[in-house]
Amino acid sequence: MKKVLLNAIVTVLVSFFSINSLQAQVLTHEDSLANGLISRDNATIISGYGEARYTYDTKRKNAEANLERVVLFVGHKFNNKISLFTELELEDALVIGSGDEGMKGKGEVAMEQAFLKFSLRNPANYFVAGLFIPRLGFINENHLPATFNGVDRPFVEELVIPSTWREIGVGYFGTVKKVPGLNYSIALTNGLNSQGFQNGSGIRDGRQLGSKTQGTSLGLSGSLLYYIGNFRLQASGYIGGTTALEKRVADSLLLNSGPFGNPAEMYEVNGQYTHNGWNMRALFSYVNIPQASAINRAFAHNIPNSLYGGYAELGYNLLFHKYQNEKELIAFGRVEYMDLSATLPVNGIQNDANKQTYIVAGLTYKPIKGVALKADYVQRMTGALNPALIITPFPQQVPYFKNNGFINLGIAYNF
Amino acid sequence: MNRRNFIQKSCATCIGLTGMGFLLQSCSTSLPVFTAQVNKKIMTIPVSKFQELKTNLLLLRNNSLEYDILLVKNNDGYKALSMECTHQSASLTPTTTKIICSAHGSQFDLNGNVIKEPALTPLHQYKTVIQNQSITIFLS
Repeated sequence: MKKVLLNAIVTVLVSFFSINSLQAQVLTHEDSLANGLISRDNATIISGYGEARYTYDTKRKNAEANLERVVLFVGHKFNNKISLFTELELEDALVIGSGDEGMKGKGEVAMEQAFLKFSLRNPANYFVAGLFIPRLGFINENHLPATFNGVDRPFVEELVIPSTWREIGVGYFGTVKKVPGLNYSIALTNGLNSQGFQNGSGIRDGRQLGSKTQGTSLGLSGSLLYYIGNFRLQASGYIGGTTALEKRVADSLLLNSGPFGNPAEMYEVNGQYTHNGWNMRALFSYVNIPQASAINRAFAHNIPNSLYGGYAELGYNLLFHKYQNEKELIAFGRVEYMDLSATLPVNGIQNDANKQTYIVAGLTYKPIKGVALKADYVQRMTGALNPALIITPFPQQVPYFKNNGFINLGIAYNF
Repeated sequence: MNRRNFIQKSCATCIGLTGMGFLLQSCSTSLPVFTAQVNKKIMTIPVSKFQELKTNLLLLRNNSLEYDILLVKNNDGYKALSMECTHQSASLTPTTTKIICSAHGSQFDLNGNVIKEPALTPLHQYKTVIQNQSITIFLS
């Protein structure tokens, strides 16, 4: 009976895929290239990336292993001008609310991108509409784990620039014909939600991420990206309203509403130089929340008027002269500094733990393209935690370490 | 390091990098774009176009193509490279020294080989033949 049932299921599945193959070709990149089918209409492309890590905390003498993320990319080309891009992400292996054999999941499932792309006559110029990542910062767009050094993304690009920052909206990405390598973008998306802003994480928790966004606030962003010789240079900016409430509620909380009510601004510049196995990168970002006092009055999250951060990284591929880029062993070092409460409104409370310095050093080994084995050491140094911010101290509270070290091991892939 | 120093140093670093880039590549010029005719999946370009436009790189465009084609003249002859990124099919931007993907940062050399991930495979290359002072590119 089981055999019959199995045969039936196989037959149904084979029939299903046979029927669908008449309408769409499911291809990997290699298949599509080898067969030259990518130029056909109705082609579907599958891609993805993922990373896992092990971290040892040298002060707390504790360790954590985690499947950070597995992302599945599915793209579909409807015709030569219109394509669909989607990225489905599973973070931390098991989602909240699910469990197996008594284990409780702590992760989440999210759509990282889901947008339609409309190409113009010059295919390098195109519109996007849907859930997409505006060009803000470096890692935000280039976050594939096998392409950056270190098990962690640069901390500045998580806490000052809240990567991965995606919102719903429309965007235009273009190139300047007269200047090869010069790209620009402009995007209009839904705004942030200031109710989510937290002391110590900037605007990160105010992202709405395409999940039933609230309010009439909008976010306007733009960027210039220039590839010139061995340099990659970028400047970008964002301004957006942060009141994600209907006007009646916003008025009752004395918050400005509307498209750019109680705005947050973010500016960023970064540069990268790559040559002969060397890779250097520097980034600086500044966030301004001019009406932080009104947001604090409404939600009491002790957010600052401004925060900023930057980092510089230097890496060298020790195998460059033997294998070029086919096999890589990159030794790298990175220094990061950020002040997540640089200036405070009158109702803000200082917390020196927000002044953070990170020194990261490690190795990235790539036996083949698309696969990375990583090892690094992170030294985190901060100011003192303001005890006044802990309203009801727990008697056995774990001490706050101003100076702590972490040993990280990681694996990453993308295909 | 105090805040003022940090901002000053960070800005100086970024401005310095920008300035160096402009200085080193200030002679950069745009690549000529040529609207080429396609007939029965064959594209034809006069060899004289390279001399006429004083270039070794020609960007070929046609409404029936989803991606431009970069025609590269080198010592071995002519290479016709599809400007489709092999990572996630974004359209590529060629410069005089390399081909770049502004979507995720992949880079290729002028032979189509990957020089920077996330792209893993070389660019698709079309077969080319020189016939009667014309370069014929076979698109199928």
